[in-house]
Amino acid sequence: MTMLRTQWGRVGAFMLAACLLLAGARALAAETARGVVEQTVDAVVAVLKQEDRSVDDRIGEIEQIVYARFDFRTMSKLVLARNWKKFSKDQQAEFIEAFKTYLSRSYGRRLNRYEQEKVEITGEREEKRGDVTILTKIAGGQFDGTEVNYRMRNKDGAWKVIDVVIEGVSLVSNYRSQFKTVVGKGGPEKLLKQLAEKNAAPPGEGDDS
Amino acid sequence: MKRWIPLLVGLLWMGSVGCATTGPPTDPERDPWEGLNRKTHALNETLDMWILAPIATGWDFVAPEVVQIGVDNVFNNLSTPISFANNLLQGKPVQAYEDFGRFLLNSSVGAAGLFDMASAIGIPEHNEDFGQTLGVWGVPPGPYLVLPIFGPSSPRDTVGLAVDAASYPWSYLVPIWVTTPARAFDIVNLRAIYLEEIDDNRESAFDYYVFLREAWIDNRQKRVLDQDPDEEDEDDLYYFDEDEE
Repeated sequence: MTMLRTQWGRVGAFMLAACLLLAGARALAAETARGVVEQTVDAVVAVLKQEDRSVDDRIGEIEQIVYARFDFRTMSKLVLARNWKKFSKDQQAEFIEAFKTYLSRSYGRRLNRYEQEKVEITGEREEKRGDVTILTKIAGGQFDGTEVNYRMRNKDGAWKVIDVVIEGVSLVSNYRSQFKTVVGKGGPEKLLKQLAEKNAAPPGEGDDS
Repeated sequence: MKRWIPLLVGLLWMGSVGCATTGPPTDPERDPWEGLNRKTHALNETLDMWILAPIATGWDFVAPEVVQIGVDNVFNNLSTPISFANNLLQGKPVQAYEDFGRFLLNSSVGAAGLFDMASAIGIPEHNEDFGQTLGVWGVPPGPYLVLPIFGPSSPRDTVGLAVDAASYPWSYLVPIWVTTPARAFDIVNLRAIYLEEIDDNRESAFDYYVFLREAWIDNRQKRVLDQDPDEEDEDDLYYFDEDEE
């Protein structure tokens, strides 16, 4: 039943893989996209390895580094697409913050399951209009061999992530489809409400079995 | 006993209609059968919640991770001949050779598949199936179709599933009362391995049905091509017009 296996595995890896990602200790304008990814992966893995620290502690630090490397504003616009204009300026700002928190929580809990995996940078690809996609692969652990691609865009001299694509599944594309459904049925308010609810819920099972 | 099963499935399906999300179709181009698919999805979720997940949780409680991975490796290894055959059909001799090597190595040195020695020495895994072969041959997938029990699929991939099932070599060598419980065990074990991921996905999704659909379609497309697809609507995905900054 290889189809079942890969379906679950790849979809599940969506989450864990996305957090073995991105942390820029220093943002240098002259850096290449690849350099940014290399540096930040090293930084995140270094924090993950500090097992003497509490998980919350480590997640907190990783969040700080990641926030600096994701362009949440652009991601929010891409994710909402045509619906972006339905949001008022206040709602847009609210959405960006809520989405940031949501992503952080969704992927943060996966950090509990870090099992000394390595992230190998396998290549880079030029995209249209100057974007660059950095290709990486996870080595070791449950998701060995999973391909994770980071699409980076250069804004004001700094390379930032605008999408994460895991085994062909784009985060932007997936959430765009989900949000389209929610906004289509209940408008921006419904989506903001659902985001707030998810962010307020107590964290799900954190510890590994 | 057997006569009750279709009735039970039918009742479950009708019962789960109440849980199915109603409303205008979300994406008639991408998912023209959405109404039906959502109902089947709801049925599958119910079956999972009441049958598969509890059994998998029990197994997860009893079996340490090492055992679960070992079992996964054994069944993975048993499917390698199918991947091998499909790589040949797709005209990919190198990948077929790798599958052959994996099977040989894992079956022998890897103790009947228990240990994935092939991955340990870096031989890539391929997981090809007949649905992908049809894709490589130019057959379009057709609309998104959720199958009862089997989950996300498409007309093309359903045919692929059927062909794979018929060509599973062990069905011809081993009696059905061995292969059926064995495959059931494989599924339970797989479900146990991904207990947390699936719970996480369900909890964080805004529309779990859509999440699964999009992830499955995109991943499937990539697997057929063995590479990231050329985004035709990439402009639409990454560059739609922005009025303000």
